[in-house]
Amino acid sequence: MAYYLHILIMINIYILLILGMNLLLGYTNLLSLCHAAFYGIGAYLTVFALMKLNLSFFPALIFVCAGTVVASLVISLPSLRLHGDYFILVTLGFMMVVFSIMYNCVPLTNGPYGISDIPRPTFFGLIKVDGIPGYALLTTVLSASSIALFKVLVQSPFGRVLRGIRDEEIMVESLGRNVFFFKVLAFAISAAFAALAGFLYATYVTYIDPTSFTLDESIFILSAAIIGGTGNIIGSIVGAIFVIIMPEIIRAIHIPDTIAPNVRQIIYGMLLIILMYFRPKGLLGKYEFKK
Amino acid sequence: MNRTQTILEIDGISKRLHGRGNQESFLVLEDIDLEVKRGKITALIGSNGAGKTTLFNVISGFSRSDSGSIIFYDEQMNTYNLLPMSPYQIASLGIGRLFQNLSVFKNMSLIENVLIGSGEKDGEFPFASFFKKSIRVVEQNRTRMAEDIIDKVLGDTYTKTELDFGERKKEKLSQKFRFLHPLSRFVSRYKRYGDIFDTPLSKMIKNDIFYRDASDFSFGQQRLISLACLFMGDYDLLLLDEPTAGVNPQIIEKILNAIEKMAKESGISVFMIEHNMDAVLKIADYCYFMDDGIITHFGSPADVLGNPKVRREYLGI
Repeated sequence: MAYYLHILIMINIYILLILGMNLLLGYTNLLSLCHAAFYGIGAYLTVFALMKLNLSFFPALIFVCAGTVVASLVISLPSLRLHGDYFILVTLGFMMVVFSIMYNCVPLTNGPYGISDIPRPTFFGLIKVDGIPGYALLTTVLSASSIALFKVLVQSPFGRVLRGIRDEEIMVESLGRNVFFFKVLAFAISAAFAALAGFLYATYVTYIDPTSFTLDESIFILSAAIIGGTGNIIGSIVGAIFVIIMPEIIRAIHIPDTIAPNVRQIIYGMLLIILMYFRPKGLLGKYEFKK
Repeated sequence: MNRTQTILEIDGISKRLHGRGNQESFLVLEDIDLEVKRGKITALIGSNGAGKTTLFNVISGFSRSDSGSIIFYDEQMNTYNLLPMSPYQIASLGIGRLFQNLSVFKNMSLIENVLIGSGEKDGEFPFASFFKKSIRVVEQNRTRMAEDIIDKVLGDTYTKTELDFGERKKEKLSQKFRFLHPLSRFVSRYKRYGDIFDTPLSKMIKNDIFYRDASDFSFGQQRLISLACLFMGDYDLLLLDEPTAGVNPQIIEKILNAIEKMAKESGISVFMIEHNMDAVLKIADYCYFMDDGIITHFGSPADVLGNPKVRREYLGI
């Protein structure tokens, strides 16, 4: 049972990450390669909030999301005036910088040794969420609430402007909307989703190190968003379920552990190629990313 | 110059395009002076490459000029120099733009295409509806207004295929939810299924059409959708770049009527680039002729189009 709950927890965490990516890719037509950086910043800020500031659940969550949003502004304010490949390159650079800081700034992050014994959060200093069933419940509630929030967001007039930007940025600008401002907001909200995922990951695993927040992870989240499909919510959920369950299926069919990761990479690669060829919108997507 | 009669005043606008490598730079706009009268339709004509769209890009902030000034007078006679402003600031002053090559948001529904043009920006801040309940009411009003505009602008352009499609859809839904029909009379939550049976076909077709992607419409209808989007905004001046290009005569008529109605009834000023001379003669009050980046003629459409030089150089007659 614990195994299935663990899968559920990971799916919930990835739903949050992919929703954030979907807001950028599927609703704003921005391809970002630094989503894992915000995931990592969220996780390290969680450590700071829980171990140094001794905050309880909600204050820690707000602190982590707010901190990550501020970090997102550092990259979004100078880069979101760029378009296409140039923007992608800047996000790639930011990913490298954040990873280097996480890996090399030992006094702050404990570098490659990582940080262990991260405490589980407590609600109002009284109720401690502990154990896999408790975490499965917590992540499910948070993931379901985030899906509901995301739905409200993308169906609101704000979401409509984002979809306008996705389709024809120039026309949105000519209708009196500050496209740059809306992109900054979308980037910040996307980072907040990643921060929430980082919060849950850090407190669930109780150990983090920089290798969980690499460029590979950013590409993995991006692939999951593309496989599931962008421009709607169901695509993000399907993407998360797919990328978490597939390695387990590979494990179930008894592929030796030594080659399983490589087989997984090969399958991802093949799937992406097949999908891009036959179904560029992803499995259940509504929108096809354009350069 | 009488300020109350002028809405846009362009003075000495020049723009030089710089070639790559050894290519020489050239003047695409040369010392342009012109005026757009308030509540009137002013046409800008000229051959391809004369610089008309570039001038529109400069007015709406998408391109920078090298010299000159562009002054906009709003209804309260406040003056604004448009040159240092960004496109969204210019649009917010009340200057709308219809593009030559872009017309609709293709992956958005028809109703959304019109709603996004709303001059009322309430609720566009993320999660605004959580903090302000009135935003839902604003959105409902906006939607009603958009539906009205679509009805007026596109109403009679729905094709037989679309009407057939609506009829088929109604039939399909009626079959699908037949088992809920008796319930719909007694249980309110099933009322919407009952609506399928009771709603008039015209309403069903409209609902279907409103929520269809804009890319599913014909080019002419897309042009009308982009005009409907502009009607949603609160504009004093519209810059229309070839509004009738590539559409059939029936829709051209509709577009021209809509533009004329806007100018005459709502007092909106229109500055439009147009190659359709019948359209210019029919609706424009004034006409400018541009040749190689220079305004060479101005007057009533009949005068300008009757000028031998214009006829020779532009119309080839």
